[in-house]
Amino acid sequence: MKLFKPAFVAITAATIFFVLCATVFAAPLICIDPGHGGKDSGARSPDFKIDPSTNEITFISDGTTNTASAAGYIDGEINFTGLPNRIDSTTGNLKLWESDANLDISLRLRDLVRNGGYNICITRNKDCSVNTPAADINKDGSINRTDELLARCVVANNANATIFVSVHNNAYTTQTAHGTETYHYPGSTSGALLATYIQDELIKQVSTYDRGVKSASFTVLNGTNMPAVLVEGAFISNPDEVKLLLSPTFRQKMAQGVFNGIDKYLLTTLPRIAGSDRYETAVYISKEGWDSASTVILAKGDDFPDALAGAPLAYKYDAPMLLTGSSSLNSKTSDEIKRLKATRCIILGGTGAISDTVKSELEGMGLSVKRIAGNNRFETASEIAKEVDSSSQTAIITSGLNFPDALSISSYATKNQIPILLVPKDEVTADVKLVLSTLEITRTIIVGGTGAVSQDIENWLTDNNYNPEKRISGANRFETSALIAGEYFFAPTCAYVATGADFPDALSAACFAAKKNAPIVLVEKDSLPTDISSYIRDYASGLEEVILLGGNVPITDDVVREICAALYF
Amino acid sequence: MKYFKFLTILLAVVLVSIFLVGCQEEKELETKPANESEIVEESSESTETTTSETESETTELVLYFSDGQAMYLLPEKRKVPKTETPAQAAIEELIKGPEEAEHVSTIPEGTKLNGVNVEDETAYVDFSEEFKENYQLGSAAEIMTVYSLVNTLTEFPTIKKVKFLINGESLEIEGSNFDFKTQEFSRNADLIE
Repeated sequence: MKLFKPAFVAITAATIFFVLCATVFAAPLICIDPGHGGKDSGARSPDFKIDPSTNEITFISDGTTNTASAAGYIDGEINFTGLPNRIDSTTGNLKLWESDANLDISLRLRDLVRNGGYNICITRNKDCSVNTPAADINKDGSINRTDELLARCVVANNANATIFVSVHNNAYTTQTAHGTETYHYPGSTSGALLATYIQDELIKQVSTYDRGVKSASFTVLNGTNMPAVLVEGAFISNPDEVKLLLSPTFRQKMAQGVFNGIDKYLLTTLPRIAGSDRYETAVYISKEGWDSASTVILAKGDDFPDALAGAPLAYKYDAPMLLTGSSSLNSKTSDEIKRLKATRCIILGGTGAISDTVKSELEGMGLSVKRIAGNNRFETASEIAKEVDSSSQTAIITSGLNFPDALSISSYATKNQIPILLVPKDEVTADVKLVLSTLEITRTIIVGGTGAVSQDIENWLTDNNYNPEKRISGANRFETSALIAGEYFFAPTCAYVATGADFPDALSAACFAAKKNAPIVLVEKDSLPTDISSYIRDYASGLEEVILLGGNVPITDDVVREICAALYF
Repeated sequence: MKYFKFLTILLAVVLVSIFLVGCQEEKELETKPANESEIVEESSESTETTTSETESETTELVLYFSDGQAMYLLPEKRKVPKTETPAQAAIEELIKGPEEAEHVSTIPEGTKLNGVNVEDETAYVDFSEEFKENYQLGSAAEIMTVYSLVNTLTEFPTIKKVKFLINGESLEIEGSNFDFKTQEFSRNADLIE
């Protein structure tokens, strides 16, 4: 019984966990809400006529005639395609109804969203009101407006939509008011971000006057549970903008703008940890992971070998890994050390890597400073391994001449306190030999192909009972990275993405990733390697977080787009 | 002849004076405070020697009207006769519309004010049917209408929130993005230019 209970709890917890996770990276569902409809036309344009022979639009106001040629507007294409003709039976004049324009733009948007691979739901797809059953029709047959708006929210909430976009067009009492604006609920940061992207992309598409992003406590923004925006495309009360809205090309561009904004927003749902340079990125990682830390590890920011091996040590002391230049302590790093209230700093590497000036600066800040260094990178790695002094009896053997393989294995090695020993291509250095025997290593993992860690090294390990039970080696750094993730991170809930082209971002993150039991996977600057894509796809349903290390220079938006596609579709 | 002309003029002056005094007395009886302050307002403009006593006979209101683009609310200061119900007076002035050329009226055409009732820092503003009937749809228009009223009313330290009524009832307005039935509005300073 005692055994049964924890098992039962564990199984239940696991089930709940997986059910929760399964929804995390499903394809986003966009709820589109065409404003008004049915009895509620929304705003109506001033009266106008269209001369069928010349395609000329004439606005009639206060008995005067304001004639404007259709020529010169988008494609010169102005007609009622896609919109019902609203003719006044007594005057024969035409009007544009907001509800009609909203619906047409929304249906175009729906198609774009669908073609983009997202899921959609729409609150109405014809000229009608949106009703919750029975409850919202007044006795006189009119619609209970509040409930009508809440019904739109209910559609989105019940569908568990990722985002909600209400499509409207604007109006004012002056005919001069013009332009495009996007609303979000006051205080909603995600809503504000979505509104900003949509507004920017809309303006790019339609080049109307940019009225900006605004906030208002509109019912549909208040009643929806997800990031929500209300787009006001153009002014139905402005003759020039009515002409634009009559053009199907313009309405298509408007839909395209909204879609581009949505798409851009969904790309940004992957958080980035990125500073203006490597030093600041390391600081940001430290800030993410530590409120305070008694020990910090300091490595040289412009070369990799010392820090490569340092991650297991950082983990041992629960210490953030910070970077500095060689000659003086980086000011951002210095500020972060103060924020952490650290009392001890371990410098990785000799005075050639980090000068004694830096050491003095640290001591001046009141820290006790320890330097771990050998005569070269291989010796330093061995010295670090001695300091880690792990009882895992396992060691990673990888190339000290390049960084990607060590980066990819760093999270696993760190988590399991496995020292990372660096070797030149085909020699086991005396220092490595000493560490292997001191730490009583019985098992080794080789990371990298025979081009990086030679067959001779593997043979030597075998001959000396260091049992190289595994060599993880892909055709390139990305495949190796995917193989490591696949081997050691089964069904992770979190993954870190770093560039495979440079080392600093991933280096600083190794200890942080280890704390979350998350792999660090490597990507190319502007494309997602196939093997990494497959790995993400395989575990997408369990991933709760995918965090990008570095800004959009090391990892471009194109890559993020591909990662989202792998997660969503 | 000359003498007769002089008499006629004198008689006319006397008659007019009597008539004017009579009128003034009559007015004073009916709407004494209003009439007094009208006179005070005129004199305060024509001379620089206004005393604090006469100043207190008018109230300066800050009204918010819209710009032509429905982007911002523009303050307009206006002096009205001192009144027991300045909030009501402020809305009456909003209904009258702006005096400055570039300011745009924000209240639906034909709207009449039934009254303003302030309870627990919330002003209940009761409009006639026209507020609802002629309400201008469109987010920009709605925001100008609502917040010209709300920002004008929240100029008074006793008012923090505003709720709109139509002939005493909480009503929704068809097509509005706001929920007039339940929503209470607070000041939005961001809209003020």
